[in-house]
Amino acid sequence: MADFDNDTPGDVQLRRFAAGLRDGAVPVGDDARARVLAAVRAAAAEDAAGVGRAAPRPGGTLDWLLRRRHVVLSPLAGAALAASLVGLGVVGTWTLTRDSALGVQRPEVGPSPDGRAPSPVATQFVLVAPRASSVELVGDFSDWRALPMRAAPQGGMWTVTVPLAPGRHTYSFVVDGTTWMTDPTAPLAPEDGFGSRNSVVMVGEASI
Amino acid sequence: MTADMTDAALVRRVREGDSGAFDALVVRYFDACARYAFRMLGDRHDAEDAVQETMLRAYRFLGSYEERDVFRAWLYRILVNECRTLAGRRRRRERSLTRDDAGVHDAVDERAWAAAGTSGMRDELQRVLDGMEPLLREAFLLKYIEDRSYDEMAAITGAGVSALKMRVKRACDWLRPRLEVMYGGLR
Repeated sequence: MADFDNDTPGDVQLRRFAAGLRDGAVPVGDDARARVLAAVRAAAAEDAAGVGRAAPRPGGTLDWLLRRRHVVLSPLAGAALAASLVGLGVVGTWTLTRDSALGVQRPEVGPSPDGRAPSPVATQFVLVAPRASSVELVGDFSDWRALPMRAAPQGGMWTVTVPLAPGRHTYSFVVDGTTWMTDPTAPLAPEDGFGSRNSVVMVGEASI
Repeated sequence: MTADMTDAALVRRVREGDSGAFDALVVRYFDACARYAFRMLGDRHDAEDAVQETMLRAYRFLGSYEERDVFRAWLYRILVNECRTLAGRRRRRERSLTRDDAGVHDAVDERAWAAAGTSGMRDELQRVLDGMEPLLREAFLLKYIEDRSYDEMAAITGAGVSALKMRVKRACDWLRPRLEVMYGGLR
């Protein structure tokens, strides 16, 4: 299932965009292909003449080639921007564990009496965003697909309850369909390499 | 004849000394590699450099390729790393590029677009894509342009499946308002 399977205008535009990138012409043509073939043949000729690198043989190492490169990027200011656009606050009504995020409300989880894996725990996410027209929850538990949050009748509070397996989960809120923001009251996960952060919730454990 | 052979069979031929068999692999994957490199880097010269270096490295280090791997994923892994390296090099280069140099560079690129059969104006789609965070762009391209599975993307990029799904989701959300502007409310 694609991230834009629906017939909404936004999904139609994304499909059109992806098709354009996939099928559109790129200015790298036959002359470039010929140059690449010539370069590879030259390398092969060097190998045959015993010049330069050895010919490909099984059992070599690609470690240096496959070593992960770190891409240093400027941090996104998205969360700060989002915070300036919406009024934020969190209303908690349940009994919370000491280290839990105030925006995430869940009951305590005890060990499974029969020793099997603990059952999923109903976990409520809450965000107060009075100026938002929609709020969605995304997280590793949903494969980062958007789960719509329901607006309370008043107070600008948005909630959704999700069954979560015990353990650590990362999540964010998506305000008005495009603006990602972390939970202002939850711990943050380490950056994902491009300046963006997610919030962390631990389900079924006392602390992170 | 080589056009009908599987990747694994071609690799075996190369390892057995038939370097010409590698030509078939180059021909087979050139277009896809060129498309990814250009979409990722947004520059014809960088894309050509990336593809050439990728193919050369694949040839030279074919001994490290293990047959249990999918050759295509192995090749993409090299390509993705090469694009990351070139993008970093370009950022350093751009910091020292004068305005006049940039004008010459753009003019050359416009001619390349014209030769590729476009209007001669830079691709609007590419303009949008160029503004996206590189790791989001990488994930979006691998998923929706190169049609790779998340497991294969994980093998290619070294990132976890969940992180990749998040990047694709972020990329889509980043694109939506920009496409709304570009397409003007297409239904």
